[in-house]
Amino acid sequence: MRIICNDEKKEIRPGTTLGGFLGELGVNVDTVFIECDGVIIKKNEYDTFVLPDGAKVELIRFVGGG
Amino acid sequence: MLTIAGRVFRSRLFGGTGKFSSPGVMKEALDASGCEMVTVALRRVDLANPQDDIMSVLDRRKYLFLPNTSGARDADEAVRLARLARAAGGGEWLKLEVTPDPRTLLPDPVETLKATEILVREGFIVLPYINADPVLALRLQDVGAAAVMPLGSPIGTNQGILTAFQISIIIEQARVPVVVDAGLGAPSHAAQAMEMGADAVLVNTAIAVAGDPVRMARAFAMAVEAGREAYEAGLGEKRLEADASSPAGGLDFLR
Repeated sequence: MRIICNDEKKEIRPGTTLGGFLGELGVNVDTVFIECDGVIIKKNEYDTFVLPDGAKVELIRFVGGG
Repeated sequence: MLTIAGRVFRSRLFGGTGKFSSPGVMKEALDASGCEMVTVALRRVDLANPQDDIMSVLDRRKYLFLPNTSGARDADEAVRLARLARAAGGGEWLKLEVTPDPRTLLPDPVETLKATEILVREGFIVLPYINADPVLALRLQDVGAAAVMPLGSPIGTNQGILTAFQISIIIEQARVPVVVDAGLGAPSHAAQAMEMGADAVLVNTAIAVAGDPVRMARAFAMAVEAGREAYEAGLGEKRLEADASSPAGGLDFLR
C-alpha cells in the first residue's frame, strides 16, 4: 500500500506503524514531529499508530532560523 | 535583569540559529554570545538527508527555545505553525512572524494582531515581530503579548536601526519588554538599540554570516552589555550649542 510523506509517494507494508516507518527512513524520532492527515500524532503513539492506506504524512522538525 | 513572562534572563542578547555554515559553528557562536534564548524555525524533514538535525547540537537545558512562525503568510498559517511547535515540545514561547511579502519580509500588522489574540488565549507566550509601529505595539501589549519585537530594518539587510524615532516611542510607551529584532548588522547597531533603552536585541544574520561568527558573537555580546551599561548610567543630553569641556575661565594670562 502507499502513503504520501512530505509530498513523496512511499510504499509500505500493511500494518506498518508510524514508529516502524520512521525507523525505515532513518529519522531520529526524538527530533521530529508528525501530522497524519492533518492531525498531530503524539510521540507515545508512534509505535501503536498504524498508517492507513493513502495517509498523508508530514514529517516536521526544528531547523535553524531567526 | 531582564524578565519576560516571569522568566529572568541574564543576557540581553538573543540568538538566531539560521544561516550558519555548520551546526558546529552555530553551537560555538551561541556559546560565545552568552545568549540564553535562541530562535528556531519549523520545516519539513528533508527525506534525502534525514540526519541533518540542529537539535543534536543544541542543549535545551542551556537555551530556552523560541520557535518562530517564519514563512507564515497570514494568521491562520502562523497559528497552525505555533500549534505544531508546541506539539513538538517547543514549549509555550513563540516568536510570532507573519510576513506575506517574501521580497521585504515586512510583517503584516493586522494578521499579527489577530494571531496574537488567538495564541494568547491558547496559553502561548507570544513575542510578536512587528514593524516599528508604536500604535500596534500598544495594541499588542493590550491583548497580552509578552514582549514586542520591532524591527530595526528588514530581516537580513544588516542596515541597522532605520526606525530609531519610532522605536524610541515604543520604548517610552511600553509596559512589556522591547526586543529590537532584525536588521542589526554590526555590534554598534546593537549598542545603539541598548543605549536607546531597548530591553534586548535579537541577532542572527550578522553573526551567522560574519567572517568569524564566534568572534562576532562575542563582539555583539560586548556591545549589548556596553549599550545597556550606558543606558543605565544615563547618557548626557544632546545640545545644539557647544558646551566646553575645559574651564572657560583662567585664560587671563593670554590677554
